[in-house]
Amino acid sequence: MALRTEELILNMGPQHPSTHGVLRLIVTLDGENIVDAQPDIGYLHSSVEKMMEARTYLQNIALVDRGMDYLTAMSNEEVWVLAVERLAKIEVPERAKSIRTIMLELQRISSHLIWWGTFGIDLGAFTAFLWAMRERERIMDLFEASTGGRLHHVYFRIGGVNEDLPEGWTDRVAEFCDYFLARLPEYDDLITGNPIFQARTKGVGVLPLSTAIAMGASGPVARASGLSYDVRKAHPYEVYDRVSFDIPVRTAGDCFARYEVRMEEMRQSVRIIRQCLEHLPAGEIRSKVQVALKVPKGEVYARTESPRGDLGIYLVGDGSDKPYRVKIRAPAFSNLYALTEMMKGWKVADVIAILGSIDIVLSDVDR
Amino acid sequence: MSWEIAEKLRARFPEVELFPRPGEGEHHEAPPSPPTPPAPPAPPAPKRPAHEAPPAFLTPGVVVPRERLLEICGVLATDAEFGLRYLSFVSAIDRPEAGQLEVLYHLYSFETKDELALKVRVSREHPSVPSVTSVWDGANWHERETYDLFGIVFDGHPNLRRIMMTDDWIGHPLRKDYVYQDPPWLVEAARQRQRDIEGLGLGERA
Amino acid sequence: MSTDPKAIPRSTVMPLDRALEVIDALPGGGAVLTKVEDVLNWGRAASVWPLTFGLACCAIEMMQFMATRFDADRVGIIPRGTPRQADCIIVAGRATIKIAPIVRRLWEQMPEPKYVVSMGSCATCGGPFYYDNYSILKGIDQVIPVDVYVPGCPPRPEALYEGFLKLQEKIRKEPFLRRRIAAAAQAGS
Ligand code: SF4
Repeated sequence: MALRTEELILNMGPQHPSTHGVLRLIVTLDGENIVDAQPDIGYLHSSVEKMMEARTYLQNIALVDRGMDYLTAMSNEEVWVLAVERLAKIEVPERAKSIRTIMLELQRISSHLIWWGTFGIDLGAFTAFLWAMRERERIMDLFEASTGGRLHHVYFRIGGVNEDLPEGWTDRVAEFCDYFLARLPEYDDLITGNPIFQARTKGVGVLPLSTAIAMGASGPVARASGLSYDVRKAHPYEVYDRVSFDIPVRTAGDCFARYEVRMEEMRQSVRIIRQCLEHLPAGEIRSKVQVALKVPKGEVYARTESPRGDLGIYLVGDGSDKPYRVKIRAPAFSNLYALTEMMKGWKVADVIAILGSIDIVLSDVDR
Repeated sequence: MSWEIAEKLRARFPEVELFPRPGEGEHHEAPPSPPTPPAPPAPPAPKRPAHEAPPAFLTPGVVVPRERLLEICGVLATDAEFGLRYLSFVSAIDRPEAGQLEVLYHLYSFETKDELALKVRVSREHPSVPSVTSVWDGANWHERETYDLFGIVFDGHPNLRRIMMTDDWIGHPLRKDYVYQDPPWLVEAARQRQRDIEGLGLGERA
Repeated sequence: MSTDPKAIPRSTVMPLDRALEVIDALPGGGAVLTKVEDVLNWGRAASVWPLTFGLACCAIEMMQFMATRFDADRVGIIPRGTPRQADCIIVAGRATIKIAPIVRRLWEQMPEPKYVVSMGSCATCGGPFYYDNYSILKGIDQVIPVDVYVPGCPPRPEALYEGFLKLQEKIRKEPFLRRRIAAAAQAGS
């Protein structure tokens, strides 16, 4: 016998401890079941694309750090310099490529650590947050020593990187890799194997593969649904074609699969860093590029794999020293759209678990 | 990154127009990567400053007439010959000198790793294109964003509202001729704050 | 500040405020009041509970400030998730025009006495997003009053510490009770 019930509309955010920034979710509930969940975004729209049109190619490096996904500043720098280098046909020295790869992977670890910590808080485990931040501080120290910044580095340059690595830095990174690998089993003990955690994530928020592709999901979210696609493998940039690493793929498509994919990615990142450290070539770190670089007319789409997925920039140059138009393809924007599909049919208590598992950064969604 | 897919599309729909190919009249050597298809040997061009060179389109792409967009997209997404199942983004480029807006789509195929940019040219006054949400569900928010920032109307979109700016925002900010103005309520709020703190000493507050 | 207790209508004044008023009028009472105030302020300064309102990049440094190594707990700073339990709001990051009314509303929902820490150049003045921009608020002080500005992009956790120490200094010096009397007097008249 079906009982007629009334629907309830629940508003979450923009100020909510678990929405990872200023996201507003409008959830329609039938009893405890979610009928519909509509994200309301734009609370952090910072007009980056407009501002980039008014800044030179070099100045924009500082802007993409802040305006795009702020957890992974160097991935943004990477996709920006990659687009400019392709259009202006600038070569990057080998050493710079290796350094960039190390930085990108360190950044990936630090970003995944934040996700791991906050996901822990979302599900009621505060210790996870403290542990993640502890490890992240070490990465911050490494960044500070080499780039000078903790969060916003402005380290990559068109045609290379800003400065060479300080003395002893590579040893410190190697030391960190050992330290970090030893921590990962502890994480598994604390969270992964935890029955409460498993009960709240296994089988929850399933995103089927076909839906994931149709909705434009990418990165760990798509890989957890069974899409074996990683830009680092499919269209290698920097030195990704010369290092060996695996792409973790799961087929379950639930929160736990997304969790597993990211945990495994951290291990793979350590693997990549170690290989880069081993084969770090000597030599130049930057090729000669004018400060007021004039980029030829043309259009190019550059893409990279940021910790959140397929991050791309469509750059339109008009021959002057400023870009004519920049379109940022933000992975979290599409991943968040897929959330509407993931939420349907789950209980209201699962909202936070599902939202935490797709790892959004509002600055990436809104730009 | 091959132009084959664009040529295949032209073979099927002769009305599409390819982007100018790289390697035509360039003074630079083509980069080793991304590999470009062997271009017909061009006569050595005289050396010119970079910004005067003809535009180089490094991403394969086609310009599609507005009327055929939906049909072509349907073929691109479902036909096994193309298999472009993944829509990276929808956006636009403003070209005020031509009085046009270029709606830009970027498609990708996981099987062949081919990519294709798609452009539709519309007038700036009353821009509208058919919505591709029926082909790629993921276009939904991207089209809303393009509508919000450029004012392009996507016919047949299920929920075409502003997404980034507030609903009562005036104008479309990413257009080249947009001029920013503080919304009236903000001007009023800031003035009110000014009145509140008038006459207060250092360290005091209203 | 009114010194005549009779000028305040009884019905609108809370008993505590009335008692304070009387003490202040006694010979030497002012000094006692000041001492009481010192004790109260000492307690208030040592337990500033901020509402965490992470808007953008600065929020990450704020998280770091509250987590391992920097550990804000040891100076009595415990983050709260709701404005009703908070003494102070950290506006960490750039605020858009779209979110400005919400910041204002959150601030209004906090009980008095309340303070505002503006963290980062963006919250202070628009920072790197000042020029050519159409959506960022150029300074959070256009909508709410700010007590402490912490500069930086992003400010290091140490800088936020400094900001909070400054806020505590400010709280310690505040004529808290006297202000309450004045407010009561104003409400009564
Ligand atoms: S001040 Fe800098 S770090 Fe802070 S929100 Fe603004 S851009 Fe981000």
